[in-house]
Order: sequence, then C-alpha cells, then structure tokens
Amino acid sequence: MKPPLLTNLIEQWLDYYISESDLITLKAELLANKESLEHYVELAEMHSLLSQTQVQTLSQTSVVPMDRIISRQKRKTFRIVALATAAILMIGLLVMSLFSFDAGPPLAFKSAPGTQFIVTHSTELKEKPKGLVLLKGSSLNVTQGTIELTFKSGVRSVLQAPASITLSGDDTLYMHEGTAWFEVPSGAEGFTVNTSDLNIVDLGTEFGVISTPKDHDEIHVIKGKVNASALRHKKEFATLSAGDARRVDPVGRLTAIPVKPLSFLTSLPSSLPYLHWSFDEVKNGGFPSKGNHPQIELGLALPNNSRAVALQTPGRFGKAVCFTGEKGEELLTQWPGIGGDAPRSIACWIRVSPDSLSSFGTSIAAWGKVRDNNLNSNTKWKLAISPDGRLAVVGYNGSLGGGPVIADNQWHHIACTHKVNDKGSSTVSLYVDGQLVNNSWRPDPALRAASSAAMIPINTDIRAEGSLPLRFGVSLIPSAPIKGCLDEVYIFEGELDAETIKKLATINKL
Amino acid sequence: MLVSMKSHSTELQAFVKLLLAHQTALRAYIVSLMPGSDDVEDVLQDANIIIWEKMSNFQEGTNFRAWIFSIARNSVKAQFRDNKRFLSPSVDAELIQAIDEIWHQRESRDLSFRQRALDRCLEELKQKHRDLIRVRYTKGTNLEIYAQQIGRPADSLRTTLSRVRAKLRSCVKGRIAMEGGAV
Repeated sequence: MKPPLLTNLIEQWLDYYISESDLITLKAELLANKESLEHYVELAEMHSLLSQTQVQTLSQTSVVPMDRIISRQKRKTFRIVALATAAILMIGLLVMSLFSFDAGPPLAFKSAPGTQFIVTHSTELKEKPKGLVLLKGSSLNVTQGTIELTFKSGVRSVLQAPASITLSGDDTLYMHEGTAWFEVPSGAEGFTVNTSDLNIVDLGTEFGVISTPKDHDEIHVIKGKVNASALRHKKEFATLSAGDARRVDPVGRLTAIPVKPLSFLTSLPSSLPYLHWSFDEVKNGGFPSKGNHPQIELGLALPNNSRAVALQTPGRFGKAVCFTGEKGEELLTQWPGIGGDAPRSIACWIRVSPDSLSSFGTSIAAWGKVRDNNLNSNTKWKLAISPDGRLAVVGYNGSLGGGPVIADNQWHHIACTHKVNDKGSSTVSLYVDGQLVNNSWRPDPALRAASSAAMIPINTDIRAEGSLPLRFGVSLIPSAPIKGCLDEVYIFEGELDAETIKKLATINKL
Repeated sequence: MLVSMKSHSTELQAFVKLLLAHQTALRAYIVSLMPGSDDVEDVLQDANIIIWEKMSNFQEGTNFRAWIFSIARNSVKAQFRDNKRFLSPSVDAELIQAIDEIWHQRESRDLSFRQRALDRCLEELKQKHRDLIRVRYTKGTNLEIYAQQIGRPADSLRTTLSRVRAKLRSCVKGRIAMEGGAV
C-alpha cells in the first residue's frame, strides 16, 4: 500500500470514521507489512500525544490552587496523575513528595553527556550539600557541555558552556558568563538574572540571555515580558515583549537587535553540542549541517563559486565532497566557529593526494581572524595537513602536528581535540584512524629565528571585524582549495574522549 | 494514609516516579490497541489501579515497561469483552500481538521530549489550525458541529486536519533531530 493511502486509512481509523471495507483492507496491510504497522504505531503515538496535550490544557483550571504552591514540574506530574489514575493513593504520595521538595535546595541541576563542570559552595555552609544542587552563594562553572537547572519555584533553565553562574538568592541568579534559556512559570514572576551589564526581571515568560566577558550582553524575549535595565552609565530601562531583543552598549543603552530564539537550547541534548556535515544531500545550493547545536542553521556550507552537486562523489559513508583545486570550489558557512580558548573537537574523513601539499600547509577547516601581518598567531584555528603530509592544527602562535603521513590518496579518519588545562596552557590531542598520535609544537615561520619563541594560549577571535566564519577546503587567506576529499565532518563544543573518536572513526556515530 | 506510608516512602516514591515516567507511553500503547475509542482514559485508569494493586509483584531489575504494558493489554481485552461502551471496530487478537511486538521492538523513547517538541510545534501553527486540533482532540467537541459553525464541509476539514497532522509530524521530527533526541 502506498504511504499516502496508508496514512489516510490509519487516520480514518484513529478518527473513527473508517468504513468496514477499508478497515478490512487496512488490517490485512498491517498484518502483512511490518513497516506499515510501525507507521501505524507512530501515528497512534502522535494521536495520543495530541489528545494528552488538549486534556492537559483543559485540566489546568481544575488544579489552579495547586498551581500556586507547587513547582511547574511538579504541577505537570500532578495533572498527569490526577487525570490518569484518579487514585487517591497516588495523589497522597505526590503530596508527600511535594513536602520533601519544599524542604529541598533552591536549585537542582543535571548535565548532558560530556559536560564538565565544577561546583563551589559557600564557605559559610556548615555542611556540604549532597548531590547536584546549588544553595545560596554556590557557584557553578561549566567548561564544556550543557546543564539543566531546576529552581524550587519551578523556573527551568538550560545553560550552555562556557558558563559561570552564582546563585545569589532563591530566585536570583548572577551570570558571569554563558548562554542560558529560562522558562518561568506563572507564580514564579520576579525571577531575576543579573549579569555584569544587565538586570533582568521576569514578568512570566520565556527568555534567553547571552553573557560573554569580551562582548556586550544580550537579552532575547521568546514569550511573555521581561523588564531589562542596563547597569552602565545611562542605565536604560525597557519592558520587553515576545520577539524583542536588546544588546547593552558600553554607555548603558539598550540597542534593538533581531531576536534569535534558535541560539538557545531548551532541553538537554544527548551529547556535547555539535554540528555534522555528511555531504550526502544538497539543499539550498549547499551542504546543510545537522546535529544538536543551536546555531545549526548557520552551518549550510555553500561552494564559493561552484555547484554543490558537482563536488559530490562517493565517500567513506554515503557521499563526500571532493575539491579539484579549482578556485571557487571551497565551501563557506556562516557559522562563526568556537571562540576564545573554549574546548573544541573536530573529526572527519579525508583523502588527500600528495600533490596537494603546499609549503604553507593544506587547510581542511578553518575559522577566526588572520592578523594583519599574516602571522599564524593565536586568533585563528585551523585543521590542516603540514607540508610534510602529517596532521596539524594551527592557531597556537604556531602549529601542533605529528603522526603518520596521511596525504597518500587513501581515506583516513583524523581528529583533533583542544582544551585548556588547570594551569592555563593548551592541551591538544591528535588522532589518526582512531589512534592517538604524538604531536609537537612548531612556531610560526616569523618566530622561528627567535630563540625565545614559545607557544602562547589560544584566543580564537570570532567576533572582531574581519573574523571569518568556518570554511572547508581552504585557509582564511584567499587561495585555491585543496586537491582532495572530505567526508563526515563533526565539530563539537567540547573535548571528545578517545573512545568517542574511535566510534566516529569506525561507525560514524556517537 | 500518609503516616502509614512513610515507612515505605522511598520505595513508594521510586515506584510512583517510575510509573509516572511511563504514563505517556502507556497511554500511547493503549491508544494503539483501541484506535478511535473514547474509552482510552477509562482503560488507562483501570490499568493504573491494577498496576498499583500489583506493585509488590514487580521485581526490581526486570522490564518495568513490559510489565505495565502486559497489565494494560489485559485491561484493553477486558474492555473489549465487556464492550459496553467501546464503539470502535475492535482489534483482533492477531493484530494485538503484532502491535505488541512493534512496541517491544521500539526503544524505550523519552516521550516527554517528544511531547515538548509537539507543544512547540502546536504553537507554531496558525490559530485556525490550532482550533482544528483542539476541536478534534478535546472530549465533548465534534468536528461535524464545528464544520457547521464555521460553514465548511466536514470532509474538507478532515483533509485540512490530515495536512496539519502531517505538518506537526514533520515539525516534531525536525525539532527532535535538531535537539539531538532519537527521532
């Protein structure tokens, strides 16, 4: 049976207006074809979720008194129980659990896989709290990954690294740094977020805050209203509604900017935030990125002056993109990349011929800012192949490279991870075909003569004028692309472990 | 009642949590066994009460979902037997078994994630399409009466409803893929 007819008959059955003869046909199809039955279960599940959504919406009025005293999360639970069971026993239990919740910490949190964080509690506390909780005065520093915060009042937040927050009061958060989404239920109005530039008081809403030490803070209102006050000189104040966004400027004005709801994650992802280019399909003239990164729409990789389809060839998994070295084939995205010294990982398959090697290195992927004097410096980040055909990463006042020769016209899986250790210096790991390889630092050409040349911490610049977003197959300086192929590129906001890299190298999955 | 439960409160709370976490899946499972029926809520209540009564039979470490699904399946069959209010053409035993197998092969998905994506997708719909979904999925409302009220043929509304549902499915898939969940 063809899919449209199958869907139509299933929906008729779920909507209870199917004819007897059609029902006989449908049942026979479902029994004969497993895929049709799977589709049926899928549609039944959606039908159930839709019914449940409407039931829950209607039920809100009947549990209003409870709404005022319990958190949103608990309220949801209550509704489900009240509707689903009508069993007094269970409601009794729920009330019990609510009592224990009231006595609990003002903020509990959980993390997505791969997240790295440090919790610091106030020294005034007599006893350290157990579990993933914050008390007044506690701080949370997230170096990579994503955290979901649940406040006692029902406020929910998803915080993306790099981030640093301090719980100033039960419903007041100080955000030193980070990208965070907040959902404030009715009854919890007045929830406050402070940054170094802004004071934000919620009036019952959903909003996002971006706070970066080297840039001006932003507030994006997705639903409802918030009061925003700049803390600098002019101290501008505004009540912002859904669809409004402001960036605070150096003198304390609130400048209107386009609202970007997609910049914020609203639930915990199943891994570190990442973008993935499979190069299997062409959409809107380029290769779209997938993954769970909030800026995924910026990842569309467009050939500079060439047809995307013409670059596709059979790859390591599905299709790959192959460059012949002709100018214009290089792929450009709008994704700014990962800035500062934030942890990051990149992994991909490459097949590069030896005649692609150049004395300047062969660029696989790059972003950031090139210094005017054209030194490699530390403001750009580039995965490349060194002039002698080995894997290298550039952006450390020089490059780190090593491992076997990979420019041999064969497919190789390569990966690079970067993080800054406790002492503030960069830790880079390079992998070839799933195996960790030794690497060593080589200073920029201009520094090689200086005997005192040393590696400096990276500071990839993705915000300054002249900073360039991610590109594939070419360096940041206008040039011809490489002669070689690229497949299954993954870029993660965080340091991947060796096991995950091995998995990518073998099955191309997380 | 609260006092008598306090001694087992940790175990009880763990059980309630587990049961609550499976409510959405349990409901969807029942819907798949009794398509088009208005009695889903009743059967779900019956099943929950039986699960509650049989709580002590559940052995930690065994498949909780399979256990509550088997109880729900029996509740559905009991409803079929009584057939007092169940007006939908019934699903026969062979089909129940086949549907059951599909559910058992499906990974235990986090439906709250899916529900949340659906909520968002509903918000993105035009008001008139949201109204249509509300009319179709709210107990006590009727598509035919609504069609008369707004002066459109019921068949035309059904076609629109089908399109809206297809749009929602696609939107949910997109959102889940974007947020990294299992589609």
